Amino acid sequence: MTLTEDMWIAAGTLLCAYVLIFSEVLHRTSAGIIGAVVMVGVGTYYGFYSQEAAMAAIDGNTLMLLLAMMLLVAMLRPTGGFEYIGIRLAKFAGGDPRWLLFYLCIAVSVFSMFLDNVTTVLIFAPLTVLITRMLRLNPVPFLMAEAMLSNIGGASTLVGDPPNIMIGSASGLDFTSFISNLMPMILPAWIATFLLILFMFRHELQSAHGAGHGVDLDETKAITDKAGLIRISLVLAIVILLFFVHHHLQLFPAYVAWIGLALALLLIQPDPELLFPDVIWSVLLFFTALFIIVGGVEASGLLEFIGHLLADGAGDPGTLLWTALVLMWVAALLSALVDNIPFTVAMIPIIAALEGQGINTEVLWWALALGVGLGGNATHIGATANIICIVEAKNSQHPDANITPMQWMRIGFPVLFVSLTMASGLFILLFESFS
Amino acid sequence: MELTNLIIPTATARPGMSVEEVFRECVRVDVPGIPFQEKDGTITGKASIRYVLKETFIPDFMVKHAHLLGDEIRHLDIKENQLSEILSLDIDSFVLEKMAVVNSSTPIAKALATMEGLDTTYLFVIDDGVYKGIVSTMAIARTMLTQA
Repeated sequence: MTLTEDMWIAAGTLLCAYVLIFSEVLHRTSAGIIGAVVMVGVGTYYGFYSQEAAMAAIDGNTLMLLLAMMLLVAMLRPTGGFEYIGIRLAKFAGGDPRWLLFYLCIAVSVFSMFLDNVTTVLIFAPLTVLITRMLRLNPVPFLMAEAMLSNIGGASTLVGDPPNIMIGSASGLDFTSFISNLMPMILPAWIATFLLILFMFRHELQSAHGAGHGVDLDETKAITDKAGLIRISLVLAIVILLFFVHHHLQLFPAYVAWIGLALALLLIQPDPELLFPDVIWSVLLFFTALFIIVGGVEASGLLEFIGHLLADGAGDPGTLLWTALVLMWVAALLSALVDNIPFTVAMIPIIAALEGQGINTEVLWWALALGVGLGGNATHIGATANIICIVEAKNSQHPDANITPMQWMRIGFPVLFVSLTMASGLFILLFESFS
Repeated sequence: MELTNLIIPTATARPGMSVEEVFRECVRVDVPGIPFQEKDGTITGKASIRYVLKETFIPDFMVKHAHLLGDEIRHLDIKENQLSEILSLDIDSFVLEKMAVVNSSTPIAKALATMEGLDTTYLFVIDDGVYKGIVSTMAIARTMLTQA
């Protein structure tokens, strides 16, 4: 198999599109749409792509799953449930900064496993600032820990972060497979990260002078719609339960989410005009554009070509492990520097092509999920949750709460190294069970 | 009821003026804010009491969760030693570009609609670039009572 003109053209178009996306000259969604239009136009002109193929390249399962989960969170958020839990946990910590850190991070991580972690952090971050300011604590350790541990928590389930949703959709790996294979690596990485943050912020996590200040927040006023909270919580419980068994019931994860959405709309009957604007359409359109762009590259045959190049290493069980580890670390380092979504979208067809050659790709899927999931912690731009925390830290008006990019990396790179090393070690130990 | 009868003449905020001077003018004429006038005479924004207080005393995290706050938050409360510090600041850093502007022949209904659309209770009356004064919902209510 050799490189053809179509492959070069597709690669060039992909490169230009990705440069435009990463350069941030335009909003990434605008850049993605432009790239998609160019890819379809160029591909149609040279004959390797078409509008029909572009439509077929769009992963509806991923988009519909994301859409449904966004709407479910949009119905949950106004009920005040998140705030109630946050305040209760804060009071339970009894003013001890370390226990407060632990409880808040657990909450954010668990929510991030099942709900969009950006929204979870968006809700918890200002509340965290309020709680820590009340306790005369620097909010920075709490905000950074929440961002990093929500990224890690979200990497453990099929629905926890967008890359996993895409990987699950492409690979056919079900919700239970994600948890059972990733959790044994994610949980120790989570613990190690938490302990590392506890150590690195040991001075900031001392109880403040004049401790005894309580968290003077009234959690009973947090819940603004008790009936709505009960209903949406019930719906989410059903959705999560169905996620665990969706494979046995032969239900797509997206359909499961839509079942939940339908139930929620029936039980809560929100005003659609108020609800639908809460969908982050820029994210959905960005993903759509990426699918079209990468679909063009796939149609040119380039990804199959790359798959053939990798087949030797991936096909030999002796080198498959090292191929997976290289993929994990490359994915992590790239995710630290740039958006992990375009990398994931590009890698998926390559790994899928390997599967078509009879190679056991499950190992590679887990490596990709771990790499893109853990890599975002290294830099302030590695994940959207990180940026949210930096903004909230600045708005906290605490004198020591301005997080510079260098300050983030001083914590982020050790976190990345420790969590990825931990995950890699366990990956090696568990390799036989994957393959 | 004509708009011209409701106008409250005020001074304007100027570059380098202190927050204290702006507050004194607002309190003197009982208005929530006054226009900001550049050296060349153009009105380019407004100096609002509400905005100054928000930016200096009320961080976003408190606003978002105001309904949850208890009463034992003394250490987050306004400190007396902050007051003189805030009043001595230049008003320039608190100027808002978004402002409601009409001319003196504008119907009252349009003035009210403009205020509603911009979520404000007062607007500035400017005729051919010349600032005339402020019209507020309070002035409208006061006039309604006297004319009823």
